[in-house]
Amino acid sequence: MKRKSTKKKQQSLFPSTLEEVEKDLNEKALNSSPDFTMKVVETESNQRVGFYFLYSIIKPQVVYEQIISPIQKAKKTLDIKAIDNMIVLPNSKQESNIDEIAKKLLQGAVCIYIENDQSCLMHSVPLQEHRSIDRAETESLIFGPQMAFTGSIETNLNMVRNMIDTPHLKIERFILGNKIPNEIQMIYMNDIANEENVNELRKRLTSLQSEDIMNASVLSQKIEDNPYSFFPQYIVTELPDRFTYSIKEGKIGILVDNSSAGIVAPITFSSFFESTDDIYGRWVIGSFTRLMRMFAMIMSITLTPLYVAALTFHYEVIPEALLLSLGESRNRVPFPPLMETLILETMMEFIREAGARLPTKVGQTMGIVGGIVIGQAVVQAGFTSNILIILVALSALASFTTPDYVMGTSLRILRFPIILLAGTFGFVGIFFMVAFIIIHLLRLRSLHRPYTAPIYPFRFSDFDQSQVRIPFALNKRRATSLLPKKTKRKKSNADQHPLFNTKGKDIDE
Amino acid sequence: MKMKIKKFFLILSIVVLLTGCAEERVLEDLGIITTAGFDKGEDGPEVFGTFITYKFSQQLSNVNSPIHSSGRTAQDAFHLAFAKTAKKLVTGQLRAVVYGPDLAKEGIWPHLDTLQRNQFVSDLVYITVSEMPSREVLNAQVFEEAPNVGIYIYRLLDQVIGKEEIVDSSLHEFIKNYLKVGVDPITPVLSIEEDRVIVTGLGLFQDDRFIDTIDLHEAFYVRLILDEFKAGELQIELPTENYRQFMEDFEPSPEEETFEITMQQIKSASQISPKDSGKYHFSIKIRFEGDIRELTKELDLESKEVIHMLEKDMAKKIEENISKLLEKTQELNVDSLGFGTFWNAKFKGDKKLTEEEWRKEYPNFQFDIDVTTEILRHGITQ
Repeated sequence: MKRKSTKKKQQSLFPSTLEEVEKDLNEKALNSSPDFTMKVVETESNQRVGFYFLYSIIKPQVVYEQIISPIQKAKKTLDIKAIDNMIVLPNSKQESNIDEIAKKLLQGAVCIYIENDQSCLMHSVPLQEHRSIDRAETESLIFGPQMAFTGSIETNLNMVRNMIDTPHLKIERFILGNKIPNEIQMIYMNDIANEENVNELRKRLTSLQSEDIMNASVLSQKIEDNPYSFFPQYIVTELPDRFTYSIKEGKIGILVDNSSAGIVAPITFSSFFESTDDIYGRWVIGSFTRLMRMFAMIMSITLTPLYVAALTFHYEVIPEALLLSLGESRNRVPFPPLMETLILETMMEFIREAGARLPTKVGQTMGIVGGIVIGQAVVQAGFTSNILIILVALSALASFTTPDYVMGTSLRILRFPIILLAGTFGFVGIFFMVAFIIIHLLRLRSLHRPYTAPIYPFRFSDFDQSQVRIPFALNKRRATSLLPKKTKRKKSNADQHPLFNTKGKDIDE
Repeated sequence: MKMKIKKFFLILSIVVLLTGCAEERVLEDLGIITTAGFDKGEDGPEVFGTFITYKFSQQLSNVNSPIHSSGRTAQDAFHLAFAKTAKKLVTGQLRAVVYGPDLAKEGIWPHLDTLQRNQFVSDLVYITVSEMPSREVLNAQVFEEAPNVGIYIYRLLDQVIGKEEIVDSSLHEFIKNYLKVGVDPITPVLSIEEDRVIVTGLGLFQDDRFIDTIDLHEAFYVRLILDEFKAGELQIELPTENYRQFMEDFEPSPEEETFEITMQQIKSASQISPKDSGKYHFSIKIRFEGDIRELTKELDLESKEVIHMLEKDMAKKIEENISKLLEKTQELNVDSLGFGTFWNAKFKGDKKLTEEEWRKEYPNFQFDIDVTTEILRHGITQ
């Protein structure tokens, strides 16, 4: 009720003088911005026209050439409609509410007001400074296109559109953020993507109440199924090819303005260990690297805990050939295996974090300091055994094989509780923790779809596109665990491959 | 959700507090026993134990310094050894146990029992007896690249058994043979020569009492009867007389009465079938084939006649050796080859041998031995 009355009061501002409008806009609606600018132009028919804008977020050249100068040159008496016809730019709107005008100004609009008129005309000429399309920083590819999403949603959408140029690509636009609104686009193939998934994601986006959406990573955490979980439930990628590949397979992508990453949903645990490089490379390479990454993941979280458990409790499982060298290197170490491992693992995390935070040039020096100086000195000083150094380095290396940085880091941190349990309960502790993780993974869902598919629920036919990558000649179906509308891939002549026709004969036979 | 987290931490703390931490056995604080030796102590029921442990230091690893201790039983001797070393003695890596002859002759079952009950001791521990007191065997100073004598003995037995020279003698095997009616256990016999441990033969047991040894030549026949060979080796001596006509010209008058033939890459299969002919009758059929490796006399191997004769004579010799071996076991009344079990496997009911019957009747068992040999290859001679 109260709000309505203020609105009425504001509306009564018009008609007024240009200076009154300026005062109202700048002091009341915009809290006295230093970059607020008013430009007054007197036309040949002696009309005073005011232009209001924030000069930091408009394109000045466009404003002067396309908006101000035609009006300045106008000979007849102008009204709002005439001005609108004069300016060839799209996106014009009449506005008479002062708050709305201020809001538009903040998004890069120019307000044109003829003195003593009833309303003003808004033209959107926003200036958005973004970095150009660059190489990806956190996810790197060997074969794939060497480019990453930028901060501009227009550029990002442009890349996606270029990669999937079909009318089936459906884009839905949302404005989220109560305080600082931001544009969000949900992109999917409307002939493939599962409708329930789309509805669910749309529901989550529209019902999201949030002050602001900083970027894609923040948004993905706000619409997760289980926000308490250790594991990310959406892939946040900065690679447009990975983004579009997922959309083509029936997943849904989300782009966020001012964010150089896109969200992919729904995903499974194994998709964190897939890279588009596996698809570009030959199938043997792809399958091998995928299996290797899985193996590396298991190794990276169990190798040092196994060391701790075996050396603290289970000396009897150590093979005879290893026992002596293990014992000899442990002999000088003053700490129990648990402490020793925690110290070294923490040190490893220090080096990694220092490398990530430092500027690139200094970061390289860090690697040398961390790797050689500390590694060498620690063993010489008898702080840790050299076998543990090997194991820690190996498991750190293994964790970096995960293509997704967030997942890699989660797994690396997961190692610490396992090490602690291994040091207090031995193998029992490791199994307890691993079982705990597995149970958690089984319960986890991404957009209400099982996280561990295709292992559980078991879909054998999906293994060929997740755990391994089969040759394209055999790849005729989409993964069924995503429940796409069309499982069969659109007609392809993969089965008329020359191999099948010629029965392996040479071309001149 | 908050309740859930609270519940989780409650359960976790209960688990941690009520169970406490497991007993820590940090590797470098352990005296990990690799081989234990037990002898009869000087007086009364005492058992004298010798324990070889790992030394995690390169300077010390060349010196053999066993831990000795004595107690009323093997377990007691092990237990009392705790006061003789700064490290915590553990048996989880035990690889071999050596029993001295005095102790073994009285029966080793009471001492084996403790190994069998100890969950840390693997079933694959080698059980051996020694010709001299085990403390002397374990005092050997030469142990090649092995970290200690214990591991040396383990590698020695592994190698010897892996080479198909003698039958397996793990703790599991020993206990199985001891408890089963119709078979007596066998173990390798260790001795010491020039300060290094060697295997001299097989020890025959009656129940758990060590009775006698057979040498490595005889040990071959034990394996030949019981097991199959995939790549064994055998040396036999044959009389020269029969082959005089085939000898090469340049050696017209051989003085020696016998010559040696060595067979290699031996493949063999044996079949033991008991027959009830009023007596306990066994037919032992052995198929035996291999290549000639060594021949101390020049023979014309191109002729089929020679090959046939060699095959025949070898078969005869093998039969002879086997029957000698069997006679020896019958004299000692040890059924190390387990003919009793073959009998019991075939016959049921009243005909089945009880333990007493088997002990009483074993010396009267009758054997038909039938060996066929075949020489597959004899190498290039020209």
